[in-house]
Amino acid sequence: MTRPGQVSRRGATRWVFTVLLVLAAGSLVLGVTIGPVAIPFRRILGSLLGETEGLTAIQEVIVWQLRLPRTLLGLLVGGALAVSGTAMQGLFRNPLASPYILGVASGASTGAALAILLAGGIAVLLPAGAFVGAGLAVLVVYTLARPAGGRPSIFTLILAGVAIGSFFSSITSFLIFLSSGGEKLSDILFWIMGGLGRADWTGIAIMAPIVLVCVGAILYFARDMNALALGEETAQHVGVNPDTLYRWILLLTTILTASAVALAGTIGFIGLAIPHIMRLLLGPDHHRLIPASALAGGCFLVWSDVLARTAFAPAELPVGVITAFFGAPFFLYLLRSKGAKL
Amino acid sequence: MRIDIRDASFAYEVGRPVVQDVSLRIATGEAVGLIGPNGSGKSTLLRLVSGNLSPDRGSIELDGDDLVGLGARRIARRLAMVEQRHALGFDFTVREIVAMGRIPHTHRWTRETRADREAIERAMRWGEVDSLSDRSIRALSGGEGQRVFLAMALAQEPSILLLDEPTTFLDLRHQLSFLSIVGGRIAEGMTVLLAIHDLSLASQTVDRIVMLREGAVRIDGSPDQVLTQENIRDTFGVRAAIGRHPETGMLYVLPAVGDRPQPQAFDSQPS
Repeated sequence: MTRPGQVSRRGATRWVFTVLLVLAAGSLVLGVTIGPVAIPFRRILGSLLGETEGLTAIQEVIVWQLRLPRTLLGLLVGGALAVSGTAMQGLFRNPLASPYILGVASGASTGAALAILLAGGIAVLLPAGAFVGAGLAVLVVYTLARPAGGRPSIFTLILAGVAIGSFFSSITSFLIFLSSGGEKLSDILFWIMGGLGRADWTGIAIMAPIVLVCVGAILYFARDMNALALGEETAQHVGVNPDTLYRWILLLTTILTASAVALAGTIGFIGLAIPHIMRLLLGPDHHRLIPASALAGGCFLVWSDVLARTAFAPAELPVGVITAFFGAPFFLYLLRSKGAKL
Repeated sequence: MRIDIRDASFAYEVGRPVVQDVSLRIATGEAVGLIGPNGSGKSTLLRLVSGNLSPDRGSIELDGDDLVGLGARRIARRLAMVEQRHALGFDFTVREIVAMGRIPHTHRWTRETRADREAIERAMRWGEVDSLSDRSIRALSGGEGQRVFLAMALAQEPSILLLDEPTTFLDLRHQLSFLSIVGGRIAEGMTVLLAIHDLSLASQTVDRIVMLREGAVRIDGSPDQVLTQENIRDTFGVRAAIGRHPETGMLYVLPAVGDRPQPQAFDSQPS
């Protein structure tokens, strides 16, 4: 018997995590198996488990240099965006917050566009430029929103984020204008739309430790974010220092989001909707919410990417098209069926 | 636990002090009511004692330890606070919220111990919210919600309980049930500092009343000494009849509705 407003989460938690773990394993299999070139699954599995025979040299390259890094990057980037979104929504106590709310995406786009225009040939500079642009945007927002010697209010942060975001967007538009007609134009536009097409082992080697450390550190602050949901003063009354919490969470989410954007462009919707969906299923406790978002965000991006590269093969859709096109209706369905108690 | 407030002053804006040279000593186990008009500094004084704000001048000590050096976590082990209203950021359950009262006592990664569980359950019984355990905080009435936050504060097992007009938004029955729970803790020896607007309820809950006006202590004493017609007129600008409850013998204060308040007595400070 559940009365109205009664919440039963203990059972839900277990099956949600079971399903998510199965999905994550499934995503790996799916990601390396499905693609324009058909390769028998047993051969792929054999190769992954260390068999040297079975795959042709080309198939070997497709599995090891294209599909596997791409799938792993999808898991990492999706997880990073979803965890950033969870932390931002927790920090701002607002379900509308996304990882991009402080201008990360706009700053990264400007940085990437600059890198493409000025040093189009040097591959390393693209993610580097995006990362620097993202970090710079957040730094400016934080500095502007911060009163002398104090902590910025949520409201000022959001407003400054919107303003700085528009500012960087205008610079990006200007850079696009400058590059009009050239090959660099499509490079910039394609980068902004986001995708996992540039995945390689170097990116994974950089991204994996960043995601592990930052997600772990955000999880460290789980109960502080729980207490913050009751207001800054109440949080302080149970011994949580809101200043420390703000500084750390803003730093960690910026690193997470900026590295995700640097390697995969600005992929929308995951950081907004996945935390939300997990909150509807599991409740607001960040101890559960953060790992669940990491898994769900990763799976969602890999599945979207599989669809993006097969739907119009050999052409590739920008993955952001898929994430929003399929994510939004599902999200709305959950909102309605769960009675929209946000 | 003893509270020593020494010449504490605080201003939100330079030149407009909200609390001015307040000195109070509250002994262990004492229950003190803070009364005064809006903007007289009650809430600010409580925020100075809770450590949310630091005094511009003067000091505040808990059992001789200055608040400044203690840090949020160690303060939270000694004192808890219930506010007028609480943000309900997400739909936590009642038990999840009460359990947050254990944060200052527990380590981040360890599970709830038996002692924690007992403290939480005891606090929920005291707050009379044990039957609401799995309900979402957002599905509760204002009176039930305030009792949840009282239970959260009690789960902190504080020596000092601060209450900032906790009954303002409650109906009569919930005001009484809330204050009777606080009364129970007072009877057990908890040190309580309660800011409250209802003078009659104040006189029935605490044994000492501090009347504030324009950020300074105007009078400090037993309800009988403080709640006089003259003091109420001077501080609130209101004419009131003072009487005694025929059954309990407690003081009550009955303002004359329709009487024109004396304008000069109303403070000019925003609250």
